[in-house]
Amino acid sequence: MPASLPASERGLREQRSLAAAAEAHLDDVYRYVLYLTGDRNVAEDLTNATFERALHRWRRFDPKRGSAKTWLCQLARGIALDHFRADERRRRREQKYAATIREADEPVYGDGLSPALETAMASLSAGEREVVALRVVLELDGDQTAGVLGISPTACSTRLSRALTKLAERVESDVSA
Amino acid sequence: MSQRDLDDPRFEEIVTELREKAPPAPEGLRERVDATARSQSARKVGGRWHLGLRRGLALAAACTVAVGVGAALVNGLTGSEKPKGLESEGVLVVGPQKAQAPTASAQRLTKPPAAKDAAGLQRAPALPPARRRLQDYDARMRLRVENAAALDRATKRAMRDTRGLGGFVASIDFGTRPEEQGDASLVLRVPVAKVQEAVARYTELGTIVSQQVRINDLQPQADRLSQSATELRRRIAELVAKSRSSGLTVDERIRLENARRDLQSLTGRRSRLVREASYATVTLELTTANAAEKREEPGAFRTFWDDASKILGTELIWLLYALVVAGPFVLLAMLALVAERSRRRRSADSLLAHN
Repeated sequence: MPASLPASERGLREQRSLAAAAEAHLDDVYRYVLYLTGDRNVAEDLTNATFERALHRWRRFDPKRGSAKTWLCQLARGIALDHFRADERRRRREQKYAATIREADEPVYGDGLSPALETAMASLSAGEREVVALRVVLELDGDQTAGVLGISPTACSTRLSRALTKLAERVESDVSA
Repeated sequence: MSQRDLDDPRFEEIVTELREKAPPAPEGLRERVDATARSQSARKVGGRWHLGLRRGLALAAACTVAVGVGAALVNGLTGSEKPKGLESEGVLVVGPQKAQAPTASAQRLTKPPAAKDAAGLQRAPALPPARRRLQDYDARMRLRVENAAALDRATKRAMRDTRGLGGFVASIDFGTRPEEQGDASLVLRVPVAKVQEAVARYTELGTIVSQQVRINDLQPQADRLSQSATELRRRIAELVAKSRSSGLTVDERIRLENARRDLQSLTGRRSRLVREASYATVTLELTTANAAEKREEPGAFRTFWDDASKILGTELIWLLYALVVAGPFVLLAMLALVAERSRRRRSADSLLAHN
């Protein structure tokens, strides 16, 4: 969807069509899921699953209760949590729970992101990366982010502040090292 | 939350870099999602109506209220079309089940029951007394007259009619108030054979407000007294015969005296009973008060409103009953729901903290 369209017209188009919403917010949903999972392949699958679910639930979407972007992020979060649960069960079965530490050998969180920031981002928990993705990358406001996460705006602000502080400290320590 | 936490200079560089270098969705994913989204128009997805839990509950509650109120209104409308049957009943008659139905001869003594007075009560023949049984006949009538002058005339005529039928006035209480108002209460004793005629005459004195007849059967009591008297007479005759032949002992003499005294008492009681049963008691109340005495036929709207209110009240009682019965279970279900949501949130936080 062209970004030059007025916000109200974009909203109307989103209301009418999932295709328009997908066109407008695919990047956002993908980035959000990518930050949550830290894995491009998984993020692609989960993003696709998100839009599959959105297709089935599109008639339940109520623009008065929030934007399509927020609604899609909520769907994506549910799907990502289901993925984490399934992954945890699988790892328990395979008894490989403690062995997986990701290596930032290829960029995940951005194209051309500095290695220090990439590494620092990878060291954060999914919960911390999630709030950074919503507030920083997707540029949702505090209330929208709190709505997606199901927490209060104050808790959301605290969580973001901690995540960014941790990120800044780790980038600084990495650079100085 | 304000933008303040993102404006911190410590984070400025990180925020800028993350935004500028944010990865776009791969082309392969874009094509897959695009295909999925465009299938929306080709497929008929889901039902036409998706209400959601809150809207569904609100709609169900609204439908329940609408059905309840509708049922009450419909019942009120259908119920208000016909007047209440009980309120158009005629004479109020309360009496023992032994009271006999009017005979053909008795019917002739009274006026036909066609005339209907202003209060809605029909002029009906009084219950006839039994001709061959002793009965305590008690009639109570309340009549309305126009004014104090009519009250005076009606009182005098009631007394005259009573005497003319061979009866007498046991008591009378007559009083008038300013503005042509007044009341009179007469206790009249009328030969029981003429009580129907008396009642028929009294009903002509004014408008019937209420009428009540009570009949108690005294025949069994009279029969018992007669049997006791016969037995005493037989015993007395035996003792008298013995006294003539061989004389009586002191004890027998005492028994004879007692038997004679008892017989005298029994005879007196039976005579009083017969005398009591030969006269009917008619309590006649005459009054000029009319507004409070009149029975007002409720209007159609009033009847409709009463019926609808009654149904609504019943529905509310059932609703309260259902709430009382189902309330604890609903509360438990809600607590379980809250606990489950809390558990899922903790589980999600834990998952996100370890990934």
